[in-house]
Order: sequence, then C-alpha cells, then structure tokens
Amino acid sequence: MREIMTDKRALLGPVATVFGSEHTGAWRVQRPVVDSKRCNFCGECQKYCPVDVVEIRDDDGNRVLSINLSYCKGCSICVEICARHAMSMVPERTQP
Amino acid sequence: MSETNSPVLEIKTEAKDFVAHGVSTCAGCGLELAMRVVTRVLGRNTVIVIPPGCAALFSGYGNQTGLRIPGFQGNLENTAAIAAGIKAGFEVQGRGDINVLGFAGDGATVDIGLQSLSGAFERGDAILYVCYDNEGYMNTGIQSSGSTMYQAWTKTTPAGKTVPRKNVMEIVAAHRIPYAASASVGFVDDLRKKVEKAKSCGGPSYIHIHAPCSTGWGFEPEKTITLARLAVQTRVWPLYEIVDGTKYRITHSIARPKKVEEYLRLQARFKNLPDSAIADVQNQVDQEYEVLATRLNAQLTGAGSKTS
Amino acid sequence: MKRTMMDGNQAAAEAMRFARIRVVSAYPITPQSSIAETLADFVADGSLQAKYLRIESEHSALSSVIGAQLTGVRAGTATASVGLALMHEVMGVASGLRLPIVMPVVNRSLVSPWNLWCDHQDAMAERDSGWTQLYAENCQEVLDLILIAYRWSEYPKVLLPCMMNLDGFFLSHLTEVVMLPDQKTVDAFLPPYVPHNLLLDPDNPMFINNLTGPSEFTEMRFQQSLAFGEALETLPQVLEEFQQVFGRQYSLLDAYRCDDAEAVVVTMGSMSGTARYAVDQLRSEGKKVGALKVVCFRPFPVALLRQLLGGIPHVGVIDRSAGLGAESGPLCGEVRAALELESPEVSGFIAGLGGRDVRLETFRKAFDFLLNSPSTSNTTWLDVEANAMSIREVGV
Repeated sequence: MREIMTDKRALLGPVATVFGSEHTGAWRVQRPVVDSKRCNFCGECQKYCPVDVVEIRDDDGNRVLSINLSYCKGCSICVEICARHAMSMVPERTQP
Repeated sequence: MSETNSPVLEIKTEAKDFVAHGVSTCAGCGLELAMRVVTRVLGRNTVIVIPPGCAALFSGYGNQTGLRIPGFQGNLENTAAIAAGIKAGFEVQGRGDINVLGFAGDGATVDIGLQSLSGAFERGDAILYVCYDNEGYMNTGIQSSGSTMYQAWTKTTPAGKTVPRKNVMEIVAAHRIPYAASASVGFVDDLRKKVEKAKSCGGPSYIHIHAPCSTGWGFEPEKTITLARLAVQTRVWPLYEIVDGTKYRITHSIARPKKVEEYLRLQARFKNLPDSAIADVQNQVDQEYEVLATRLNAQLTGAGSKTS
Repeated sequence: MKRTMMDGNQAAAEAMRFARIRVVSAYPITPQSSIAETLADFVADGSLQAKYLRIESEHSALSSVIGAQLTGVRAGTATASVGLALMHEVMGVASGLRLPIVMPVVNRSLVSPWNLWCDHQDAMAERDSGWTQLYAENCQEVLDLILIAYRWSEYPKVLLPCMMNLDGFFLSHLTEVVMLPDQKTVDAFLPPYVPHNLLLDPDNPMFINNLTGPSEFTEMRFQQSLAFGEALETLPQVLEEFQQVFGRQYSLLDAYRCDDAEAVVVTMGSMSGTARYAVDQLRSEGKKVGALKVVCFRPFPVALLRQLLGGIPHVGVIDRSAGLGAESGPLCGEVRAALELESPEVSGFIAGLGGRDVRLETFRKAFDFLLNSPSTSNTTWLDVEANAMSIREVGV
C-alpha cells in the first residue's frame, strides 16, 4: 500500500512547534532604571532576574547595563538585590 | 525517516538560552529563575518532562511553547516514569548522553508523584529530577501539599497547616542514588554547581529547589530572593548535598542562624500567627536541623564522612 | 514455520520479540505475569535486544512506554484487569499522541468482587479510550494478531495504539499448537519502526502534549476519528498481506454457517470455538444456526456486520461483560445499533463473567431462546444460577 506524500507535512496531535513569547512587558506598572554612576556591573541583578532581561554590554571599555523592556514584568527583584542601590523603580506611565 | 529530518521548530522570539523571555509566570516568580538556571547548565542536549502545574506555563499553549529544547507534558503523577521511559529509549539507540530532565512541582513530586519517583530511583534510571518547591499546589490556586510548611495558610489549610512538611531529601536518600541536593533560587551559583554535579553523576539524581511564590505566600514580588535567602539563613531550608544516600555535606554554612520569625513575618500566609505558634515553628525547624546535623556528622567506617 | 506447543502468554511474548521491541516495561498481574517473565528471560538471554524497566506500577508502565516510544522505538507492555484500569488515565495519552503502541491485554474481570478469571470488562471499560481492539480466539491468533497489530497501527494514516485481547486463563494459560515463523519472515512483513509523527529529539525540538484550547481540541479528536476510519479500511489489506506471507487468513468478522441461518450467535474471544462446535451439533439436529466471531471490536465493522447479519431473523450477542445500567452488554449494544435498520430482533445475552466457562449447554440455551422465545429487548443472563439473590445467605 503506497503512501501519497503531500508537499506540506502536518503533525497530528497536540504539539507546539513555535518558539514564542508573550508581551509580558505590558504587565508593568513600574519600570527599573539604573544609576550608571552607582552601578559597578557586578551582575547580581542579571543573575537573579527571573525573566533574564538584564543586558550588560561592553562598548569599548564603556560598560552599559540595560533592561529588555519588552518582557520586564516590573517585579523589582533587581532593585531589592542591588547592594549598591543602583537600581530604582519609576512609574511606567501616568494615566492620560 | 526523511520527513522528520528537518527541524520543525519556528523561532519567533529571541532568547539568551533555551527559555523564551515572555512566559506568563507571575512577576518575580522563583520557579522561572530555577527553570532558566537549570536548563542553561544542562544545555541543548536535553529533553524536559513537565507535569501540569506552574512549570507547564513553559510548555506553552496551543502551537506556541516557551522552550527551545524538546519537551513533553505528562500527567501529574508520572513525571519520573515518563522520564525513565525516555531515557531507556535513548539508551537503546546509543543516545544515552542526552540529559533527561524531570521538572515538577512539590505537589507533583512529594504527593502524587512519589511512587513513580521512588520506582525510577530504585531502578537506577539515570534521570535528573528537579523538584521546584513553592510549597503548595499553586497553579490550581494555592492548595496545601505535603511540602507546605508547618503553620502556613493555604486554601485547604485556612487555619494553618497542622503538621510539618515531609522530609523528601531523606526519602530520596533512602534510595541511595548517586547525587541529591537541596537548593534555592536565592543562591544561583550554588544551584548551578549542583546541576553540574547532577548532570555528571552517572545515575539518577535529584535537586529540590526552594522557589518562594509571591502569589501563594503573600509577599511583594521584589522579595522573592530575599525570602529565599532568609529561608536558608534561618535553617528553614538548609543547603546541602547527599552522595550515594549516605554522605552528607552542607554547601552553604550558616554560622549564626537567624530567628525563624524574621522569615515568617514577611509572608502573609503566616499573618497573625500567635507567638506560641511561632515558637512551635522554631522548635520544629531546630529539630529538623538536629536530624540533619546527625547525618552531617556521621562517620561511616571506611567510607569517610565528608566528600569535597 | 516451526510447530511448537505454547500457551497464549508465551505466544504474546514471542510476537513482541519478533516485533523487535527495544524497551519493555511491564508490571506483574494475574493472568498476565508470564508475559512479563518471558520477556525478562528473552532480555536476559540476549534474544531480545531491549532495556527492561522493572516498573513499579501499570500506570508507570504505560507512562514509560509512551516516553520510550516517543524517542522513536517500539516499546512494549502488557496487562490485565485492574492493571488496565490503573493505566486508564494514560490510555488517552497514547491515543491522543498517535503512538502505535501494541499492548496484549489478558482479559480478566474488574473488581469488586475480587476475581482472577476471564471476563471482558477490563477491555470494555477502555472502549472509548481511542485504542483499536482485536480479540484472539486461540493461541495462534494471539501471535498472529499481535504481529498484524504492529503493522496495522504503524500505518501513517492510522497511528493508533492497539489493544490485543486474549482471554484470561482460557488462552493465557492454555497450551496449544502454535506455528512459529522465523524472524526473516516476520521482518518481511513488519518493517523497522519509523516514527512518522511526534518525536523527542534534541536535533529536532518540539514540545509535545502541551495545553490545547477549545479552538483546536475538537480538530484533534476529529483527526483520531478519521484515523479509526482509515484503520477500518486498512485492516483488510494488512490481513491480506499477512495471508500472503504467513498463509493464514483472518477477517474482521468471521462468519460460520450463517448464510441460511435462522439464528446466529455473536461472540468474541475463546468462546468462539465452542460456539462453532455448538452450531455443528445443532445443525446435525436439523437446526439452521450459525456463529459470528468478532475479531476487530474497535473500530467496529458496522458495514461488514450489516452485510453478514442483515436478514438473519434472530441474532443473539453473548457479552462477556455485564454492561451494568445499559439495556444490554456493550457488544450487543454495538450490534443492535449496527443492525437497527436491517434486523428488528437482536437479543442480548450475558455469559462467562468472572471466569465462568461458556459451555456447549450455554450456547444451546441461547439458540433455543432465539428460535423459540418471543422477541424481547431484555438481556438474558444465560448462565446465572436461580438462587442468585441468596448465595450469601447468613443463618439466624
């Protein structure tokens, strides 16, 4: 009994084949900001951020810490954890 | 097998490792941190088994998943059995190097999942079983599990849990598996080292990760790591490892433990606990630690007491 | 072909060895235990290249088989009775994930009362599980139908798990002549397993069995229902292939002397042999009777049944399970539904529960009822004792 192969193949049954994200950044009511004068780039906030959105870049000796705001949920763990109090939360936006 | 050769996963989001950034876990979720750390250490050559529960949020919904490694969602009680089967299937095909990771909550492990866990460990099935412990059935709305702390409020223990939690580490130790460890999301470096050890121990391994839950325990999300650390510092959650079920070693020493009350007072689930109840909890924590201390200090003839 | 003597359990284990399963995960339960034991022997002596998981329960047995099969190998288990009941939660997983797992089930009653012996209640309780179901009449069929099941289930348009039923003790522990093929012949009929659908592989990641919403669940169930339709169409072709390779012919429904019969009794499993014996005896007494054996219960061969039994004035169906609360036993219900338009009179019978032998006398009673009694929609318990309500009488 010969199989007739179609061009496209569809999997049968429950399976996820799209690696995707929800826009969890939209949840936030407050956003973290970093005081670059106080930050010593120890990386603790990066280590403990549950959504892993802390980026530490080195631009020619100029280190920059930024947050991927598409996903940051505003949990404030980074603020709580920073030993140098270099992180603080500001309101996400005021009501129009 | 021509049709299944080409990878089917469509990448629609960026991720630094194997977990998407935008997963619908609560803000400040302890388990989310655990999932990222564990999968990052294990790497690409891993298959994950997740039962229903909070971690199933990473499995995803419909056609979308938050994981870039292959995974399977089992039933609530059979994570270890499914993982054992997957490992066996890989082994007979000469692919026994693939890490098979069970990633289950405390309910799915210490209650309904205990039988399959015990079976896999007794047989020596080389799976890495991670239990993320948020001390309750949180995904179904905060019901008590066998791992919920003594005196804690939950929706099924509204007057406070009247019995202490099961000591699952002792149960696991009784199976004499090569490696078991307690861990905490408050100590990521310690957790990473333990995952590395588990990965290379050559047999079944178990890591029990304390993952404070802001929604279920009643605290502001920013306090997740603080509370995880306090749990360790008060000896509510000692960090240790057990090799071959008999050799115990503390991995984070607490010279002067803080009072348990400091930990309890930060959580709404212990709100209005009378002093007598707090004293009870302190006693219970002290007693549990004494048992652990006996294990830590035990000298086995010929085997040595502590391994590095 | 080698002529051997073996019991049904041995035949089942041989078939699984021929199918080259790579992972075994089976939990002991009467009357299945010797399947798990024989497979252990095969692994120990190297004649079966498989990993043997000394699994700690039936629920875990099927769970681990599902895990193993998802990595791309044939994985095997077998069970009976309450062991199958314990697997119930996971049965739907195998079917919903379209895994062509083949599982011998040694039919034994469910509890309570506690009973170790033959009854179809265990398999009937799984009739909506999304598994196909075949029933063997003798030990040769046990071997053959399992090989057929692997071939059938693994068709890309089928991809359904199959339960291969054999009567507890009457087949599992009955030693009969079984013609054993050689491995080469089996390999010609049953090619190596190729996972066509879902797969766990770090080189091709996908997340299997995550939450499915109302917008897609129906479609996935529909996919399964289409697969049952394909299964119904595919099985005759597989049976034809089997006949060409092994020389034995099977069909989904086996009609015996039904052509001019006034009364036909429908059976499943080992009692079918006695049914034919009864037919022969009654025929020699001038009665026009016939017997129909159901080999394939799921999918239920409605069209073929209508073809074979449409126009038969009196049809009786012997259910080997009680079907409590329904008008009749489950098999009778299916036959009635299938014949609704063709034959107005289908009588339901219950017999052989809990290991009670279905004897010649039982069949004679059934045929007597069909030929002589007025039609009734009640179900007749053919072999129940008259003092059923007082068997546990306690004294004053």
